[in-house]
Amino acid sequence: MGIPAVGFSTTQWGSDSIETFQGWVSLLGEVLQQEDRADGIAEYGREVYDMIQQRLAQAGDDLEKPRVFWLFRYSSGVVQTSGSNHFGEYWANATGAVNVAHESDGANFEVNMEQIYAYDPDIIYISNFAPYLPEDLYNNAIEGNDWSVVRAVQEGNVYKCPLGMYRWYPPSSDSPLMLLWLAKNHHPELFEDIDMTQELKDYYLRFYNVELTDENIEKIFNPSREAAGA
Amino acid sequence: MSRKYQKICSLCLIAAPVLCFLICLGVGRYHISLPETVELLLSPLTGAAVDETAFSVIFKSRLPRLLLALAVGAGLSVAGGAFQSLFSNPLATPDTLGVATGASFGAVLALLFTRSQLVVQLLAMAMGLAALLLTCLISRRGGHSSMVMVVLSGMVISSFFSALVSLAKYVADPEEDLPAITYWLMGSMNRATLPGIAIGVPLIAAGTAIILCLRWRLNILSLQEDEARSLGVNVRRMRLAVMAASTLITASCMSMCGQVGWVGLLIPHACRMIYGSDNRRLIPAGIGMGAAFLVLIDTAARSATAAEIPVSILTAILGAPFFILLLRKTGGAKL
Repeated sequence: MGIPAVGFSTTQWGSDSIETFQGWVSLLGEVLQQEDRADGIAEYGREVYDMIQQRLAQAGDDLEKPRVFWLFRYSSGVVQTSGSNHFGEYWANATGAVNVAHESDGANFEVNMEQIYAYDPDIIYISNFAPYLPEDLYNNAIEGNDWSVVRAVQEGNVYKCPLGMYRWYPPSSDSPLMLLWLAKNHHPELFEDIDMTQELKDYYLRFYNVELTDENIEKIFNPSREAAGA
Repeated sequence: MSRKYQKICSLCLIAAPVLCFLICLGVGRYHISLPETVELLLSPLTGAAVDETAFSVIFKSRLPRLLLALAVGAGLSVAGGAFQSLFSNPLATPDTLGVATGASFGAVLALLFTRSQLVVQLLAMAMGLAALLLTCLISRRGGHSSMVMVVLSGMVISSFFSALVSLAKYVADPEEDLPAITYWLMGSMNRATLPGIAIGVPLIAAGTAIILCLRWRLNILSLQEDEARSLGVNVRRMRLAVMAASTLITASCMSMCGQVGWVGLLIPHACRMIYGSDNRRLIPAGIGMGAAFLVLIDTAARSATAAEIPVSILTAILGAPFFILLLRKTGGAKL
């Protein structure tokens, strides 16, 4: 037909969110014949990544790594999580945690409640592809699924992934911030100096030329249920 | 097959669902030892203090799911067996009248607008029944409908609804609704809720009981229509009763756990190879075998790997070779 076609891969770079994003942006730059303005993002992402690895390494092997469970999708009683070939694996490994579903090779797959009890996660992250909020789990308000006996729920360690330029779970232009947010969540003692509010303000100003208000930031960290259907 | 052999089979078929149920209660991803399982099961009576996670596993996950598998397995086998006799067609399945496809459309439609599983289940049920109604209306000509017309109308309704399902998938939001729809259609016992089961299982039981009571008349219904009438049976009323009961079963099954293929075809044929085509024995045998079969399959689906395996995939993968083996061995029993 002679129509040029371009494919954007979600798997070519493994589950590494920073490199995947960089891959997309540089391909997009090539297609549009524009030097990409987002070049700095991947570079900054690698910097952040290295900083986190360095601090984790300094903390030594005794560092206790929390076991995290990703609620990637969740609707009509079907729970899907991230296996070792999805971004949840990268996020956990990069920020000093362990993905509880690490042993499953799949990308994202359905698990039942019994399996979640067996995983016994310390922390649960709800992505913005799922319409639920941490309260729903704390109040055990989802019909058919009993979350009340899961440790992360009992200990109050359920978090909704932030939603900035895009959802933070998949690779996005906000990915370096996701790394910081997760690292601080997993090891607050190692990242005490990092103030997420300030990080967000600096980052948005530097890369998007946007001045965030405190209200904006509040919204980024507390996305609505409706974000899942966007 | 000899009488003695049949008797042994009958005993097995009575024992199988009970045994499978008890054994599978102890199987799953979350490890609970056998003594602990027994203690847990008796805990509501003894009031013993038990681990709350294990309690939740047994009473909120495994028990409801096993009950659902028993009911759906038995129901689909009976509905399939009844349709095969009614239409004198060995390839008839519970979906022959378009009921399952209608129910799928109901569920998919509900999934586009709501996340409430109860609404999804009720709309699936309603559309399943609507599909039967449409099939009956289309097949009636001059106050009379032949079985051929019924089957053909069923095919038409079925493909009509499957087109609507595709349409709904096409317009669904690909990031949230489409995965939900796709998962729903693949079939799983995982998502049934207790209130849902409380509505669906009694309906399956009612449909099964109706067919069980009519089972000797099914033998007559598989004859030519004038022959059946000459034996003093009200053919029209009987057919309607069997069709309505089967629809009740199929729509309830679909509405709770999506498409569970193969059971309605495989189990009645396996029973037929033991008992011949006498519905008086075939229908009860189907209840036992279907219930045990689906309990085993669903236990594999929920506990073989960390990932839940869609039950339809398992019924087809395990069912197809088993069916081929049976056919080769017996040369296919006569309907």
